[in-house]
Amino acid sequence: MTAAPTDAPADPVLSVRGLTVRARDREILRRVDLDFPTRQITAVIGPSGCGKTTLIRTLNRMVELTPGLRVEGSVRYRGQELYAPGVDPVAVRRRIGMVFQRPTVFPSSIYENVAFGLRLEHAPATEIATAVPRALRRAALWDEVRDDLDRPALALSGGQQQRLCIARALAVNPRALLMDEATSSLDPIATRKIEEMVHELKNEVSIIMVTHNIAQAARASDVTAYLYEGRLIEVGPTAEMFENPREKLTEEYLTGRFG
Amino acid sequence: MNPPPGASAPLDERLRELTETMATMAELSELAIRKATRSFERCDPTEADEVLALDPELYALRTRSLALGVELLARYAPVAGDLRRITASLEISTDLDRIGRYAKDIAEVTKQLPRESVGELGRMSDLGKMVELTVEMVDTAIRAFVQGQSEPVRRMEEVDDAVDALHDAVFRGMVDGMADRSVAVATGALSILVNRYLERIADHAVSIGNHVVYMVTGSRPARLPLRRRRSPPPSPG
Repeated sequence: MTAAPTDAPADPVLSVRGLTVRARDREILRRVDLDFPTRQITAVIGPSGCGKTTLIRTLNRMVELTPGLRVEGSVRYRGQELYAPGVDPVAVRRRIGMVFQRPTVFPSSIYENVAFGLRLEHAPATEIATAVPRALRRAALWDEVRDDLDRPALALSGGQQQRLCIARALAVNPRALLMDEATSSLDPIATRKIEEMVHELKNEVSIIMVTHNIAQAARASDVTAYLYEGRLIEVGPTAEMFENPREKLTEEYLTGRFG
Repeated sequence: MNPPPGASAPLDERLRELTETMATMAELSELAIRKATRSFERCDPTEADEVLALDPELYALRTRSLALGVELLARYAPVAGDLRRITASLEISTDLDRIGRYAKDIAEVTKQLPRESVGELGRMSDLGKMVELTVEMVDTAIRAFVQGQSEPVRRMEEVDDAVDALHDAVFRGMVDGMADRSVAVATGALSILVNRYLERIADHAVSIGNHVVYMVTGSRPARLPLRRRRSPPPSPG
C-alpha cells in the first residue's frame, strides 16, 4: 500500500509525518505521512470512521478540544511545528480557519459575524470596515448582503450562512482553510456556489476539504487523499486517482464495491 | 412517460447491458466482414445486399451503446475501472461502426464488380487469409473487452503486421495482373479497394485492442512509429 506521498509538493502549506492519534482504546490515525500543497484544493475521502475528520482537526489543533485524544508525530504549517511548546493553539486556529458541516453563525448581525475574529485581535475599526466587505466578496456573498449588513445572520439561508462562516474565517487572512463536510447540508445550487467560490479562493488560500461526496472530491479538488481505518492508503492528483487508482482498496471504495 | 426497463438498475447491471450491446455489435460486424468478402470473392450481389441490410442494425446498436454510455456517465458518475470501461466502450463502438462501414463499402464494391471477374479473383488467394486474420483480430479484441483481460490483445500488433504483409502481396498481385492483362483493370482496381478496406479493418481491431489495454490497466499503449505500423506502399510495376 502507498502510505507515503510519492510526489510530495515542494512547498506544502501543511505537512504531517508519522501522525498518530490515539483514543483510550484504539488508534484513530496510524502513522500518517501527508503533504498538503500550497494554493491547491486537497480532498480527504474515506468511509465513515476512517479518521478523516480527526486528520483535519489535527491540522489546526482543534483535536485538542476533544478530551482523551493523544497526538503523536509532527504537524508542520509552512515549516513550523504546530505542536511545539509555546505555540498558541488559538493563534493556530486563526491562521488555519475551519468551516463545519452545519453553519455556525452567531446570533448577531452579518457584519458582526464577519468582524468577530478581527475584534478578538483588537483590530482598529477602520481595518474592520475594510476587511468585512473584502471577506464577504471573497466568500461570494457580498452582492447578496451588501445593502443589509445589519440584518441578523440567522435570517440568511443555509447556503448563505455557510458562506458567511467562510467569510468569517477569511476575514483574519488565513493561509489555509479546512472544510469539514462543509456542503453536506446544502442543496445542489448552494453547493455549486461554494465550490465555485472555493475554486477562486485557492489562488490565495490553500484548501483542505473532508467530504463524503465522491463526486464532489472528483470535480472540486486538485489532490485527493484516501484514508482507510486510520491509514493513508493513497494520495495523488485527483484526475489520476479517479481514473486509475493505484490501490485496490481505493478502487473498491471509489466504485462503491467496498467490503 | 415510462422509464426504459432497467433504467434505475444498479451500475453493475447497466455495465453488463453495455458490454452485451458491444458484444452484439462486434458479432454483427464480424458477420458483415465475412459476408461482404464472400460476396466479393463470388461476385454475389445478393449476399452484398444482405450486408447492406446489416448496416442499419449496426447503426442502431452504435446509437444504443452511445446513449447507454452517456446515460451511465450522467447518472452514476462512475470512476476508476467503471469509468474506463464506459469510455473504452464509447471509443470501441466508433471502431466497430467504422468496421461495419468498411464491410458495407466492400459490399458496394461487389455490386460494381463485373460478373466475369470471378476467375480473375483467383489471383487473390491471400484475400481469404486476410479475412480470417482480421475477423480473428476483432474477435480477440472483443472477447478481451468482455472478459476485462488485456493479455489476449498484446500480440495483435504482430497479427496486424501479417495482415499488412498480405495487403502488400495482394496489391502487387493485382498490379502485376493488370500489367500483364491477366486481370481486367476494373477488377484489379476494385480488388485493390477491398484489399485496402480489409487492411483498415485490421487497424481498427488494433485500436479496439488498445482501448481494452487502457480499460484494464489504466495506461494507453504507446503509438508505434509509422514505419513499424505500416510497410511502405509497394511500387506499381
